[in-house]
Amino acid sequence: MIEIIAYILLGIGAACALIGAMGIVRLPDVYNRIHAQTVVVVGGVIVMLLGASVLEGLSSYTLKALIIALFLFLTNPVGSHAIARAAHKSGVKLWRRSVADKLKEEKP
Amino acid sequence: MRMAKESLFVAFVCLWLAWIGLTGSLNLQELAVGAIVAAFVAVVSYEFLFQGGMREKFEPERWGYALAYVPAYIWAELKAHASVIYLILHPRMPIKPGIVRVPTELRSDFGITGLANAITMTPGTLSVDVSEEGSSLYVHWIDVKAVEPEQTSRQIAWPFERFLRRIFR
Amino acid sequence: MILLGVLVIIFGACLFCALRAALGPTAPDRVVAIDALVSLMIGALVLLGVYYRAPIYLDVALVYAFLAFLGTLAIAKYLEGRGIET
Repeated sequence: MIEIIAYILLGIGAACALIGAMGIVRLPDVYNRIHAQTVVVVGGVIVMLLGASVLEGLSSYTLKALIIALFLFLTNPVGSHAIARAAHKSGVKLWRRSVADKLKEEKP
Repeated sequence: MRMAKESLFVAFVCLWLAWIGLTGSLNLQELAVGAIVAAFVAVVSYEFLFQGGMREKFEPERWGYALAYVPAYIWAELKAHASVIYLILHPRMPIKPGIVRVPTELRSDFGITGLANAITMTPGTLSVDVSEEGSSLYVHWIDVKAVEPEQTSRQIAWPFERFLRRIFR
Repeated sequence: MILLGVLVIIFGACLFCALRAALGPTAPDRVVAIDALVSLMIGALVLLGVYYRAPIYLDVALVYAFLAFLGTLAIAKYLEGRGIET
């Protein structure tokens, strides 16, 4: 029973990782690709780490895997935000069919 | 002085727990070395880790809202993942990206940081910048449904802000 | 067996990320792709730790996560002061 839950979590994680990586290739500009990267990290890697720790049962291994998951969970938004802000400040343009850019209008 | 002692003690306990989690053993020698290192790091850094009193950080009401925040957050994550995966897998990719302004009522630094992190962690929305006075975020949205500040605030920020304004007062 | 299948899928996702890192028109594109690649490698290291029953993989994964975070922040800070070039 426990193993089935673990394998379901691993399967969801692998599917999210593959779809997110396809998104990183398909989507048109940096900001959209960061959404796909969030799918890879949160839906893919963190769910896979949870699955691995369910599979392993209660041990020091599980504790360390959960610490890695928590670390990724806390640092990934900081890194994404820093990259997006740096891209916007250094003048990377939005996709040509974007509908609005309030940041450029209101804070030039 | 009393406040400083309390926050020093809390910082020491947190750092020691982190040490035990990372070494993963309850050996007496490891525990002793961990206590020494945690005490040293706590003395150096407790001023930056905790500001203000310790009493108000342990009010049960705030911890209750923090517990209620977890399932709401997971539900928001699931919905956002489903919509972004649909957008990626759709052959014609019907995305409508754009940067919108999201006003917020939160004022404390921790509250705004938590809101920006939660917005970035849900795929589909990405906080790009914070305005100087800290009253609004600029959010890149992969599927813009509205540009007006009231609408964006209700659709993007409200699911998190509802809890965060009670947790970080 | 299932673990090996998951590792193969992670390898495929890594190939997509490497493709974007090679194509990426601007520098932030490459950084985002390599960030995703590093996260996938962390997941793969943890799964290898389960497969080979060797906890040392987890320490490698933890240090890798720390270094990747620092590297991302440093590159972001560098890009912010530079202006756009390819």
